[in-house]
Amino acid sequence: MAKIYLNEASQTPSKTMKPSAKIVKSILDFSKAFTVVTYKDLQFDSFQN
Amino acid sequence: MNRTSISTEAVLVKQYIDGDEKSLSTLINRHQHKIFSFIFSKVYDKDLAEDIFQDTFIKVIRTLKRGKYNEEGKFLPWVMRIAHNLVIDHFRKSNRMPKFEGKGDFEILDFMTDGDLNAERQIIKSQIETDLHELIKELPQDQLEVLEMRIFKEMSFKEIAFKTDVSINTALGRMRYALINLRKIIEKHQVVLTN
Repeated sequence: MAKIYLNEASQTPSKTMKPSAKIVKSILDFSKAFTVVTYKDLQFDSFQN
Repeated sequence: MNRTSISTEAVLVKQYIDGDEKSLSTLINRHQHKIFSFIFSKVYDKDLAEDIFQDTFIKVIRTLKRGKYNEEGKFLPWVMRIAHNLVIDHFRKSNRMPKFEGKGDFEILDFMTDGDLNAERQIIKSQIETDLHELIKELPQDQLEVLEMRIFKEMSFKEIAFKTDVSINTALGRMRYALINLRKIIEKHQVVLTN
């Protein structure tokens, strides 16, 4: 009988799993671009290129 | 976690808030396995887990930079709580939202495909398209990309998935998030898109 669950083995979560480098880089890029500007009592989100 | 590592966390968070971007990189590298494994263990989809991981840290970054973080050194439990809430949000939304199977019959802007427009309505239609192009620029790049391919280039989700090198589910997920976020952007700008 065919092993119908064969592909599921690679889907098991493990503590060594991590997001791709691309995702981490996008987070760090977002962080660099994102600033909060405070004017009087107001806060404005700002993105810098 | 011992007292030293807690204080190191607090120092890293403080340094990041003070503008040291490398501290964030250190925090992500230190905790990415635990956070990502936790998310993946709930959603069982690597691409979706990556999307939620990304959303988690975007929320973390916004909170830290807005000066609203007050967890006194308990950084990881705080981030895990954000990830947990985003996972719950995902399941709530996916249960509530209609499932789009990518059959090519999903048209978000059906109202824009009116074949018989008078001059006034053509101007309105043109204005709506201009507004829409401006509004979608606020979307995250991955969502913007999928939305443009789907709406303006009329590509199928299969084609979008191939072009962006992700699974069809991820392309569908990004489209869904794009529409959710677009609604928020429209509400934020108080724009009325109608003809």
